[in-house]
Amino acid sequence: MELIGHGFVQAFQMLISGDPELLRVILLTLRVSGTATLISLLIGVPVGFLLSGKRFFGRRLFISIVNTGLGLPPVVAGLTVSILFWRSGPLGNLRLLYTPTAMVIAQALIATPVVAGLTIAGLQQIPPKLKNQLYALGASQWQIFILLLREARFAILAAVMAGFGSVISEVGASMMVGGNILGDTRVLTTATVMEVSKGNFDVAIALSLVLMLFTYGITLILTLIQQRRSPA
Amino acid sequence: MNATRIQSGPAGLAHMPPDTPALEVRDLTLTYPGGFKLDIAHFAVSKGAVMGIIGPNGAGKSTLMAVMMGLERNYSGTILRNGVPLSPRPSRGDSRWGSRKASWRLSRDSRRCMSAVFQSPLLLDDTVAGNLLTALSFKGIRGSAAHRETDKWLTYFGIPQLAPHRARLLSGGEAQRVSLARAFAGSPELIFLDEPFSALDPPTRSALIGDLAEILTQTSITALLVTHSLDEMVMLCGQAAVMINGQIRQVGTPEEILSHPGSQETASLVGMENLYEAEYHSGAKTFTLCSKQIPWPVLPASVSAQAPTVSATPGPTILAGFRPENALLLSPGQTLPWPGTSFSGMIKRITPGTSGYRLTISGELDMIVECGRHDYLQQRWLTDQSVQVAVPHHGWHVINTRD
Repeated sequence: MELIGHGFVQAFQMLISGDPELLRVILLTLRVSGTATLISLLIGVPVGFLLSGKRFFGRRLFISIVNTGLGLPPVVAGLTVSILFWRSGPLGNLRLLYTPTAMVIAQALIATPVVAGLTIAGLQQIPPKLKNQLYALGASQWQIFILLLREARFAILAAVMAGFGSVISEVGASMMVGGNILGDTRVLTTATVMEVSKGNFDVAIALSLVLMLFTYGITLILTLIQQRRSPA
Repeated sequence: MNATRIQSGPAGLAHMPPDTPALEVRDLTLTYPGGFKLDIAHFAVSKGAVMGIIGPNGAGKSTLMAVMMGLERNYSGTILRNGVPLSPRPSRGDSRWGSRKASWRLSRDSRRCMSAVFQSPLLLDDTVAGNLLTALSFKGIRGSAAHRETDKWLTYFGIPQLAPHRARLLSGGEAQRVSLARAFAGSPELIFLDEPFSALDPPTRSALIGDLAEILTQTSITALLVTHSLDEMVMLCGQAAVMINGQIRQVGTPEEILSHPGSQETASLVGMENLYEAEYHSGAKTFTLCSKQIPWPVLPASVSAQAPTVSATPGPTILAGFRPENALLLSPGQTLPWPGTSFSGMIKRITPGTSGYRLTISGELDMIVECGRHDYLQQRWLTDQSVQVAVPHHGWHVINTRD
């Protein structure tokens, strides 16, 4: 208990003192995970829309692949991106390994199936005939797309929260493709692992609390947006 | 309901010949893998008409409507709106008009002239006014014009007070009123109504049908109603088509279809439960049933062509029948109040209904007779009671089963 209490005090002191290293780690964490979530949203929502509505050969196979991706282990995502960006890998000439960009790519790989899977589930809750109704009222394909997303907005916001939660909390992929380089690719999760391995449990607890604080803050904002006009 | 005349109706049709149908289907065929085939040689809806399509489950009514709305695409044939083929978007390099295998969606301009209401209201998770404003935006109507149009149609459907309410919180009847107001907003040329009242309770349905009938009478909007209900067909439609097994079997006024069905299947569908084989005598213009000669009834133009044309001895067999409500149970000693034929029999069963009683009678002819509640309570008919049933000459209908 004393250790946890000390961790709380340490976390408070780190935040109050404006420790530049901590701030850099927090900002990089938010930048990497935020960008990865945005990318997963831009890819996952259209993919989810396509798989939820269009009937085509192999659709169910694609959905099963997306659903498998919901449980994609971060280390597998990290290994995949590492292989791609190794010097001898197919994209090695881009020299992205051990950069924040590689971390964003790995995290987007983790979050996209989460966003796509939950988007599919959300869109499939909408009455199937609503699309026909909008079409029969004269809506364009784009208007139908936007309106159906609006109908599924609560599910899509849940998908964003789940996607963001899955990437801000992962450590395996960030460690593998980022390398936990001080001032460059160190994020809150990799820093916590490092401090634990060094035996600095109070610092690790402090970093964990900071991570939880920011995760909660962002999820709270998204929840408030989601619940703002939810139906009674 | 607002009593003032509704100022609406499609604009820009002045150049069209007056007899050009608002919607026409030619040589339409569509086959499903399960074997069901839609086969419509010709079907037309006049401008400003309310056309009903009735038929049993699985007859293809909703499929035909889906084809006309552009929701069902893999068919061959031609659909014309105001005499012009609906703008197709050929997907495989085939841009010819006319009969062809089509695989396209209707152009946006075509769809903007149409609207639809389905069995469930299918409202967006928005306010009632928001639903109408969104639908109007599809038709390019925005701003103050859209708000005026929204107010107007919500008022005509008797729900202006619901404008700020969230659509998801409405009752079934209110939601369907909103759905109808949304379909009418912008005054489309053509409205498709696909069993819009089937999910409503009887009082709500009755009130909504009454309001819709008034609005359809006051506007020049062409409407196509798919329904199972004969009451809805009679109350709303000026014309109706009977659809059975993917084919249109008869087109006529609701009264013609109810009293003069063109086939045995149609007779069964529209409730002509008393149908018998009879002998036809073309020379004498009569038919014989239970050794009684009955004058050949006057048939409407839509079905008279189906009367037997051969003169043979003995005459060819036809089906003769009458509706249960066209027969009259005679009180003891009562004479026929009009020219007709009477049959003796015995009451076997009495079934109460909402508007009267149905009596199953066995005797010279086995028949069902409907008796009004007032008449029934006056006479107090009993089972196993011997009765005389009279059928007026004008109450008969004949169906040719030979030519």
